[in-house]
Amino acid sequence: MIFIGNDVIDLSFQDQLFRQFKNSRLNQKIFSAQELAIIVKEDNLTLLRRWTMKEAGYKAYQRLYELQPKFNPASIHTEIRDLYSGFATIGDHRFKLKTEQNDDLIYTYIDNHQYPQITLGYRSREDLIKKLSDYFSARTVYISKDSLNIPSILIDNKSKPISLTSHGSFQLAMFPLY
Amino acid sequence: MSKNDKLNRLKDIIKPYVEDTQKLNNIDESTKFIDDLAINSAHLVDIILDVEDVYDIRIENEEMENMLDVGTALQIIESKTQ
Repeated sequence: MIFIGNDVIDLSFQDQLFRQFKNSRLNQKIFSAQELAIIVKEDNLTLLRRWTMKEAGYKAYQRLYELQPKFNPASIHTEIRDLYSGFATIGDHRFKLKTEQNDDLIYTYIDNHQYPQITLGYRSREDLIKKLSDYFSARTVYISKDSLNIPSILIDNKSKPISLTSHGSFQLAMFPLY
Repeated sequence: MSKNDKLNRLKDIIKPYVEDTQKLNNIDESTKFIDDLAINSAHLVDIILDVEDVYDIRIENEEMENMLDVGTALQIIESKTQ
């Protein structure tokens, strides 16, 4: 089974985000007790990375169980394995995650091992539709959200899951190739 | 305090986190913070902290879970300030 979830942070906002994440009250609402004990030793960028891990994991979990939207980031436990990989555990589900990080952004998504998935950057909804049309050589492309606000795409009448994330100047869409 | 006063007080709290002032001016109980007002989820935590400060209340993480729209936020504030 393929899981879809992604999240991006635009690091041009990093100073503002560092100030936010320095607030211990905010951290108590975001991180689990186990994470709170670990993050005191971590740098600011790692805190932001954990945030993207929680968001990407939550999107996959909500889609998997078709849940009403909820906001309780502290209930999602993150583990960092190395510079690029980690896990987000929600309930009894543990998602493997991949993170790409450079001077401009932190981008985390569900790692689906052997299933190929694509990330496309886009400027607007129309631009995304055009890029998807070009990518799949499709005649018709629709993007829709269901009553739970979970997005999907319809490419020549074939439905595919898609995860959308935006922050600052970045808007990224992720979907399975097949 | 009337229902409208309560809504306006909440509007003042969320104002710094909303770019589209027209959308802010038109909020009602059904307005969703993330989907309708494009408030990012990190700022949603800021709003919850600001609500705690303004009303001198404590919102537990389990209560915060459903605080995704104006109506639920007002209900939680009401239940904590009675």
